[in-house]
Amino acid sequence: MGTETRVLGRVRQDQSDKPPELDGKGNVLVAHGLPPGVEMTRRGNCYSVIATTAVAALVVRPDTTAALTVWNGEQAGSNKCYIVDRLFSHCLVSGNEEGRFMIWACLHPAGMTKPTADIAASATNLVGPYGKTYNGLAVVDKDATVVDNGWFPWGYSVDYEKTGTLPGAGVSVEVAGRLIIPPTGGISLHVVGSINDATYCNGLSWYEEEIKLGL
Amino acid sequence: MAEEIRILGRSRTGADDHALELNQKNELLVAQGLPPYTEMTKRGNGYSAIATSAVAALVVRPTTTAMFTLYNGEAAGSNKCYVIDRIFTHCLVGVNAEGRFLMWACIHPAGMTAPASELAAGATEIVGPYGKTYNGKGVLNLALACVDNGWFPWGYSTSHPAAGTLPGAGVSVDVAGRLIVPPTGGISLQVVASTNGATFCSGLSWWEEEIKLD
Repeated sequence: MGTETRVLGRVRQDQSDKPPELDGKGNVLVAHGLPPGVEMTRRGNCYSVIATTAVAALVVRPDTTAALTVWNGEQAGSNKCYIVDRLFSHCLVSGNEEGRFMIWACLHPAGMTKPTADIAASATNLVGPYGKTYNGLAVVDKDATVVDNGWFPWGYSVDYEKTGTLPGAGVSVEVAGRLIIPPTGGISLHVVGSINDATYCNGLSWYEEEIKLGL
Repeated sequence: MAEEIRILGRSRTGADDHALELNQKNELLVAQGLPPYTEMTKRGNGYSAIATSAVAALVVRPTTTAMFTLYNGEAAGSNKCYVIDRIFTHCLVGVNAEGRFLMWACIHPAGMTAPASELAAGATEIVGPYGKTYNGKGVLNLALACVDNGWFPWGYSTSHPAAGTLPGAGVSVDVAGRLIVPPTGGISLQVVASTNGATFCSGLSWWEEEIKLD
């Protein structure tokens, strides 16, 4: 029989040393020391952008027209990736009928042509965590013509009201790292709606991290 | 009596070492370092597929007709499993009345007959992470006659519009590994709707991983 060693941890409350506890199956019992997003946010590499003007939804599956595009302007071959955390959109102006809408996203691989910078870093539309000004190399474009690298739906569709500037309908989808933008790659968003005259302000949040892809 | 050791970790915020901390119930305190799916995505084994054409929903609980099927073409007895991450659909064409719809899924065990391949790997319909081309052995089929291995609902129903190609309604359900497709097994998706005739484009995302199933 091998040597038995009991691992000890420090109890935060009284600084005593105790072995971590297991359940009846031998699983280590854990507790979240902080909410899941705290560590990433604390590090200060989290950014969000939202469109300053609304763009009409498509009433067809997206292909080469994007409502909002974020391009990773880091040097080709570097490891600074953009880890997508959330996608969001809200209906600003709706048309003559009630309808439904949903967010779609397309990830563009490395080597994407740099788009036009339509949304600059600011205190309101392209911001960092806890007031940090965005100083990265992302380029945010609206209404870009993009390569169709495959579009997929995210989250749930929701309803919006008819006629007018009634901006209450919206969605925010947790991607949670399922989409990663490599240097010189990008992500495009669009809304697919039931009616073609409703317009939307779209955006996303991402973390900028050194990650070696493929390992 | 067992020897006792105290485990130290290196603090990210400084060069000093800290003991791992517990709460008052002696539960190990942990924190999320990166968003939860970053590591899986980074490894490059995640793929997504979506149907190129829409299929009518059922207005009855599914049995032997699938809307969308993914077959795991890895060799029988191997451990390359498909871990399902998300399933999704959107209503392409509504019919005469508004209605509601919900996704259903069925796991087919190992030994399923390989279906016809109706969706080829490409830049738009079967894609890998960060531009990686799909080079696996997954086979995608639309409208397959399948074995009923038990269908179950996933996610929430939502509503679709009446009459016309009004494709705004859809759902994307986090499966998060609750469904695993073994080699030579498969997964089928179906949409159950309130109204006959509404058509849907469905798809799913999965990771291909070596996992030894019990």
